[in-house]
Amino acid sequence: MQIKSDHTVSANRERVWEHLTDAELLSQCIPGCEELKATGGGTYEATIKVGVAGIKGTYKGTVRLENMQPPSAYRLMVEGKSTIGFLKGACDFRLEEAKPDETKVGLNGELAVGGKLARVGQRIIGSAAKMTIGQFFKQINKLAATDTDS
Amino acid sequence: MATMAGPSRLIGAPIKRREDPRLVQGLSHYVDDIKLVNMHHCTFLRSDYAHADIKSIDTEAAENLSGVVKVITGVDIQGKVGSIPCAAEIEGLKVPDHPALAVDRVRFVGEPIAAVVATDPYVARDALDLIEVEYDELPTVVDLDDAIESDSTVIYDEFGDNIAFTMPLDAGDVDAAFAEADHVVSQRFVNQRLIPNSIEPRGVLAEYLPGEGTLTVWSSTQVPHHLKTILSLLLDLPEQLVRVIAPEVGGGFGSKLNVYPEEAVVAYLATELRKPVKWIEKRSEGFTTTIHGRDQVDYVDMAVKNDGTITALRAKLLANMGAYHQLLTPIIPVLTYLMMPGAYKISNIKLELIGVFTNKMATDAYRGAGRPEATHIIERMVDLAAQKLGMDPKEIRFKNFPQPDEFPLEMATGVTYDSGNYQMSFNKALDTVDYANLRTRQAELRSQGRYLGIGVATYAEICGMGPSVGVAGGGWESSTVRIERTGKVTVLTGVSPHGQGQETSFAQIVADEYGISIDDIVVIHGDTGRQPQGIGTFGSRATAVGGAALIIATQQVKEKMAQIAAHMLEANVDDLVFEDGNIFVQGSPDSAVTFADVAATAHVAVNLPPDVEPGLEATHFFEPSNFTYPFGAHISIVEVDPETGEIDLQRYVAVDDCGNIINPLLVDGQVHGGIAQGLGQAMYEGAVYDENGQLLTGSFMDYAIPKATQVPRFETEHTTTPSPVNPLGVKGVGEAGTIASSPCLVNAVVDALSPFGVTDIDMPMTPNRVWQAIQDAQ
Repeated sequence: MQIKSDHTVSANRERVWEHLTDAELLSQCIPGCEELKATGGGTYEATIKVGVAGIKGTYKGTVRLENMQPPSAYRLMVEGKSTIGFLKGACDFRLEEAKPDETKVGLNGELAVGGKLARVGQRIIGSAAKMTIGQFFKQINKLAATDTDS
Repeated sequence: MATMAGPSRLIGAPIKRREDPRLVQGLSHYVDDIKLVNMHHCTFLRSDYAHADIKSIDTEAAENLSGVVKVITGVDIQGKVGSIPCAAEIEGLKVPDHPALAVDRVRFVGEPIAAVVATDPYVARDALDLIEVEYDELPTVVDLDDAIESDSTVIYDEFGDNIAFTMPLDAGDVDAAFAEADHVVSQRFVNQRLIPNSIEPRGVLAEYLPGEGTLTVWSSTQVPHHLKTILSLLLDLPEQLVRVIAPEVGGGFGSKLNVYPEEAVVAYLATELRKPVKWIEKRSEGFTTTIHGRDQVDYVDMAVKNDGTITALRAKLLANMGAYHQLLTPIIPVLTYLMMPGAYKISNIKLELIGVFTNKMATDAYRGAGRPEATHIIERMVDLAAQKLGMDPKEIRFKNFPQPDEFPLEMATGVTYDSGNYQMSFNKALDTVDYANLRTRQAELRSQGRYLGIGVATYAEICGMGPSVGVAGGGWESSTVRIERTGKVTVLTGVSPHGQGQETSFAQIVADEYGISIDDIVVIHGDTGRQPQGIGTFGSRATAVGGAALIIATQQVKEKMAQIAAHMLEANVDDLVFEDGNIFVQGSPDSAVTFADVAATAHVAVNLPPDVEPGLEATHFFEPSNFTYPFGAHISIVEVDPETGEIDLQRYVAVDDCGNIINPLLVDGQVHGGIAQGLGQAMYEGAVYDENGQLLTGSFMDYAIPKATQVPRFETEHTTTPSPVNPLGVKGVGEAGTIASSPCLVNAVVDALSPFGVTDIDMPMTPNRVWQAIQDAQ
């Protein structure tokens, strides 16, 4: 499944970069994130609760940030498994300064799911992913904007 | 023995199904209704990956869950549970090892990896979540065309490629026929993968009694006798100590004509734990791990003359086996191969059938099994040829039908059609719809911008499976008739009906022969302990083979009864009549003995004629001399909205010739259900896997089977051309509706859209596809 979306965050690019790559801040912004622990080398161990179409599961796996080009681009790699199957994805993040204190973040990636979630939820995984990403950026925006004010 | 038969009252009569009262009142017992003392429950952990190496399996946490009794993996049962068998015998067939639980590699999503036994079904389910499996993902093979490319990932390293077998045919002079053809039509067909979805899912309950050494297995199966034999081999148990019972079975459509890993594992666990163990399939397991149907890609060329004569057929048939062979997987497309000419005389045929492994669930028999694919190909090709020639689809069919006096007719594919009168059934269908007027109306509507389509399919199929030489595992059937001391009649049959209604039709056959009430007859089936020999119900065979065995056994007992009755009446055997529960000399009904009196005499055994043994029981094994070849003509009328692509199915007429009819209600019921399933394929259903081998249509939210509002009112008619290959003259009708209806509907929609230049549409013909076909053609 393809993931492609654009988001606007009301903060300058360096600040957005900081928020998108900081484990503590990320864990506050990823919906359902129960744990995100840095293990070094841009890799994190993650525990994330996911519920789609009445199918709920807790994914355990790794999140890895690669091709880091601060503050403009990086690649996010996700791999996890749960009782409702596995997921595996790679997504390129591109940060562009739109205006002073406003950053455009473009996402372009692929997500593969397997197991029960694929069998029963596939039809709505696309919209569920979109919603989750939307929630994520809403939260990032909130935190980044709050920081600017302070 | 001369004329003993009373007037025929029941054969051919529309007797209501005797099975139905218990079914509609909820008084039936399916596997899940059977509960044994200290019964344990089994669940299966299944692969989430379509193709992966198993690096490790950690079952410790599951084993420690309170209530869990046992957790086993593939390694635990190596050497204890044999490889799941494939009965197909095809030259050069590659048969991979098929462990009941995967050992080091998984090859499709849903493949069982571990089994849990617990005291409670929910604990058994929860324990699955505690099993940790580490996989090494491998590239997947999902597309038929790609799988046979030389650079494809190979699913079985030991085979070198993904080709399970190839089967060529070169009959007549195909190259010359194509060279001399006036026209050649070519088409690629996708016969999409279907999921059988019987209402009752699969289920197994097994109990082992260590003292007696007996294993009893209740399974929702179509083939209890095969299952008994195979389980005894897989578990190395003496066959005579294994009993398989198929209780009420809620549909199968071929999907329960099989031996599954779960049956072997549950039976093994029951013997190992010495406790009853039950597994009931979840609907989502049914979608992924009960066999699928169809799944072919066919490349076809047809050579025709200007007058409509079909001179040659050439085809490459790619058949998707899935990842493993189940019981008959490779056999199914062979039926496509054999039936390629359909209802037409085509003497030049060149075929290449290729069975292909992919990382998907195995395909196997699903209602029609190989013949819907053949019928789709030939019926679509005939219409394509007619379209090219500017000929009416009716004319090209009449042009190529064999004449009724040409039967038995040897076909270029090697089969011999038993009997037929294709003109008769087709004419009846044409008359029923008033074909000529329909075409006029179609032209009128077209001038108003409305698109009526008239679809025709004239089919011939192969069933009544069949002579043993042509049926893996044997094609005979056995039936026993026993007249009890009280004159009640017990029929024991080796066929295993699960919706077909033989408890009714077999009783009709016996009641007529004996001149007794149908209420005095009970038909027992589906229990290897009571009817120790049999093959089962599939391939529209139960009446053609099992019914044939029954009529012969019935007559054997009747002959003995007549001897005893003649002795009692001091009359001549040849003069006796069986009527209304009495046996008497023709013309002298007043001095009769009752059927029950004769039965009692046979059992009391003090007044028997010399050389007559006590008791009244006979078993007959019937071996048919050939398959049967039902045929018929279906016509459907649709109107298509070119703006939305929606199809309005306005009328469906089916004329089926299944030989003699025992019970017209049962026949019509079979035709109705068959058409509904063919319509499902034509318009709604399709199993879709993504490029990673994940089944995307894994629930009824995404896999559309037709609802009651989506099927039309069926108009059924029949012609009767008896089969010469069995004493009842019957052919079989379980699959005909499915076989004819999908091409009939596609032909109707293509006919409706021919003004746009549409020549073919892939199934299922969803509104989107129909609309797209119109756009693409313009």
